[in-house]
Amino acid sequence: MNIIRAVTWIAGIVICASVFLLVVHLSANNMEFSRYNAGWNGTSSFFFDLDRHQTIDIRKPGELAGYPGNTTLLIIAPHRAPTTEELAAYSAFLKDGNTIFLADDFGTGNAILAGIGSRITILPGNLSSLDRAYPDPYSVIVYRATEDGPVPLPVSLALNRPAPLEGGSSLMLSSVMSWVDLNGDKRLNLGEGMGTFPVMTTETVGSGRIIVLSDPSIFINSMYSQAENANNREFLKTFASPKGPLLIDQMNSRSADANGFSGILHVLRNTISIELIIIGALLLGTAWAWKKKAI
Amino acid sequence: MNVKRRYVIVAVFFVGILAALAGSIHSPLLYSLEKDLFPSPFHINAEALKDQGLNSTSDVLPDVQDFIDFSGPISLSIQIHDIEQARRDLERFQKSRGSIKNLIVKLDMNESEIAEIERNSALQREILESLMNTSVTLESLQLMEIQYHSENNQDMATTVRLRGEEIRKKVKGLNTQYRNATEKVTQSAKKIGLNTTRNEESSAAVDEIVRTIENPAATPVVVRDTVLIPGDERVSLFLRPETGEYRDVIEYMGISLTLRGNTTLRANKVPIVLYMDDLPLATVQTDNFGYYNAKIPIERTKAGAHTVYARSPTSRSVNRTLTVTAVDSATFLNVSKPDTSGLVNCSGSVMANYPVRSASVEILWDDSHVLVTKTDARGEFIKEIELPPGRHTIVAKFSGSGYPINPSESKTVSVDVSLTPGYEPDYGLILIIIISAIILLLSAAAARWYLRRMTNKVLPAPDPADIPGTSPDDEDSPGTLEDLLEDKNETLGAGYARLLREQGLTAASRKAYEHLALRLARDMRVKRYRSLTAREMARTCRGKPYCSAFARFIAIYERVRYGGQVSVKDQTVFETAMNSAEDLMEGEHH
Repeated sequence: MNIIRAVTWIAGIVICASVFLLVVHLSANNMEFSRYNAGWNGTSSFFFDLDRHQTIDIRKPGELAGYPGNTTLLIIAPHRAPTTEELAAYSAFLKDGNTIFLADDFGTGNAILAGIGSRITILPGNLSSLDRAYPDPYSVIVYRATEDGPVPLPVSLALNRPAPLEGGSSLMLSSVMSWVDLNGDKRLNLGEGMGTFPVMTTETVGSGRIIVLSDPSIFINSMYSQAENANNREFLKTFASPKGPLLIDQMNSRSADANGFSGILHVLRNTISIELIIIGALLLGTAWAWKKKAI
Repeated sequence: MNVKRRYVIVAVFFVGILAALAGSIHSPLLYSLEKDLFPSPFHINAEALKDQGLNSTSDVLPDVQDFIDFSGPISLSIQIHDIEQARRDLERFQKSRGSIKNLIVKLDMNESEIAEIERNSALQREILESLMNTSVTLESLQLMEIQYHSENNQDMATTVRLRGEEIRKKVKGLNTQYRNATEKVTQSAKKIGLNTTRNEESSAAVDEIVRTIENPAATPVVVRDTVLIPGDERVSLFLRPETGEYRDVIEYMGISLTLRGNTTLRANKVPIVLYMDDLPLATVQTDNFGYYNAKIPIERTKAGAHTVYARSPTSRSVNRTLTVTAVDSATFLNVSKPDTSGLVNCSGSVMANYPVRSASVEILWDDSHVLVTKTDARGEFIKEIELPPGRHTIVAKFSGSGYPINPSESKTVSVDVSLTPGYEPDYGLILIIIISAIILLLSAAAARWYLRRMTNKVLPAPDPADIPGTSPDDEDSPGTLEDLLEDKNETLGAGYARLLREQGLTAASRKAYEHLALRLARDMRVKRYRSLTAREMARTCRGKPYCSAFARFIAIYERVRYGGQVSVKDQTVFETAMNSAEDLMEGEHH
């Protein structure tokens, strides 16, 4: 009997391990910026490091209301133009004296900026530089432009395909050996003048503040986790630990993307009613199995 | 649920999991960043770029700074008519320009500030060369004119003078061109944070040279003063310290005086050229009080004693000796794993008491092939080598040539390039396959063991109620045989004989088997023995003295029951085996 039990345990452990691996495997994805993507282009490491007690996911515009003036809303890589309701919520959020940090280089963030009355614009073109973190002109090293920023700024940051910004006060600038690669050939052509370009700017909108970083790729695992990008990590960690609450926009952000099994799993996890039903079903199943064993 | 069905479900589930893992094991999401190279329109995989070479302004700018600084000493040398020195500097300037041009092509910076600097510096060089040649020619013409005057050959003297005037006309506007080029160099250089002081100073020197050429009478040409006696004390020089090692900073300082009649004045704002071993080391300018001071690190200066002196436009200091001591160096080398085409990245560094900058490093592979690379501003180097298949050794050597540094070489690194072209074993995948195989084998072994135990169906110490025949409700209790054995007190032999007569050998043999099987089931406590075949029953009695007799009985029983026509001999053998098994079982019970 004891041998049979041992064998049953071994088989059970092997099956549990297999199921665990399968679930872990299927719960991840390879979508750009996805918080569920553990690969180089996902943002799982950044989201893993967030303080759960201080961080709140925002999934509906209404959830932005009622925060005190020391709250920061982080919008990473918005993938569509915001709705009127979302813009109204952003504006009200700023009106309460809070801060919005927008990280975007696709230009979709421009609709948000214009909608909330900011004069900052994300310009088209890839910022390129001879001062690069890796052997690619798009891996630009940018430098602190001011000591007195609204957030603690590192001496330098390594960016990955940033865009130039216009408007606002510069917080981080590229070096003079930089140019905007308008035709995407990674070379310096006629009409692509060299100079410094702002990549992080700030401005006050009403009683609130908007900070724009023209590169959401700073959040991806390969720019966040690697040892040589310690400045990036420290900056984001410091930034993600403000005095007040940190809100993460999951309404209009590629970081919320999920697909396939991972999509289903994360819907289950994030929908309380479904979660309660599943927990109830599991408890009932356990009770039934227990009872059967007892008989 | 039926036990077999349960196990089938578990097995299907388990196989399904393994199949799902096997299907996605080639591109798992639990992947390493290094191997994940799919293209993305949003960013580049930094991890995949790490092994490639890197250029940045920190590598490029020191070379560009050196390049734009050349014009200062050259113009000064022309101004003081040190033509030989000017020629040497122009030659070095040309070489430096070649490397800058290569850099521009390599980094594809045709429209960059550096390219602009290169173009305008080239123009500066052309003007300086032209002025130097003009000065030399005019000097020769001047000597010839003097000679013809002394010979009273007025025709020739006039010809020479007219020729001189023609040449003088050609330099007109050169200073303006030079000033424009200087402005452009300054503009571009300032954008990238370079120091343009020397370059800007050269513009003033060129103005002076042009003025001197155009108006020889107004400002006599300052001919190189070959009769200047070292130590005439009109310009002094002190070194602090007088000994040093690689990259130690030496302070050169002194005062420049000028004589006006019987008065000695401090020469303010005059250029002072520092020479080491008769080669210009640097140019500085005196301040308002005639003092000058320069702090210059020891870089490419060989170990040993070096003669240092300073020159003002009209004076030369005494010789001073700077003693440079050699230091030991260490060369480090790392070699990356070869890729499918045998390419490896050799990176490393050269350290003395500081990182050794711009040093030539030889990378020697298989003691027969040499590649040369240079260290950057951080003393680091990187070079890509394509190796043929096979085992190779690579070593990096720093010769120390031109530096006050002793040579050194790295440890020898061995590299294996796969003999199969284009094939590189994926050790990660192999490890995954091995682990999967081990898990499968363990699972199979555990399943086999478990199923064998279940097939034997030996249940130790079961409830007596589970033993066949011990319960009145037992479905396995064969009523007829029990009746035969217990109620009628009939022996097996008697019962067999009666059934043989009444129903034939097949039925009688069946009843005999059931009888013995029931006894065995009771003895071995086998549950549901009727679901087992005769052979499975024979396997359950291992360890019992009657087991081999029972096995022989089963063998003949199967032949009698299922073998078709049965001979008398077979019947006899069957009855013998039956009696033998029963006797031994009886003996066991007693």
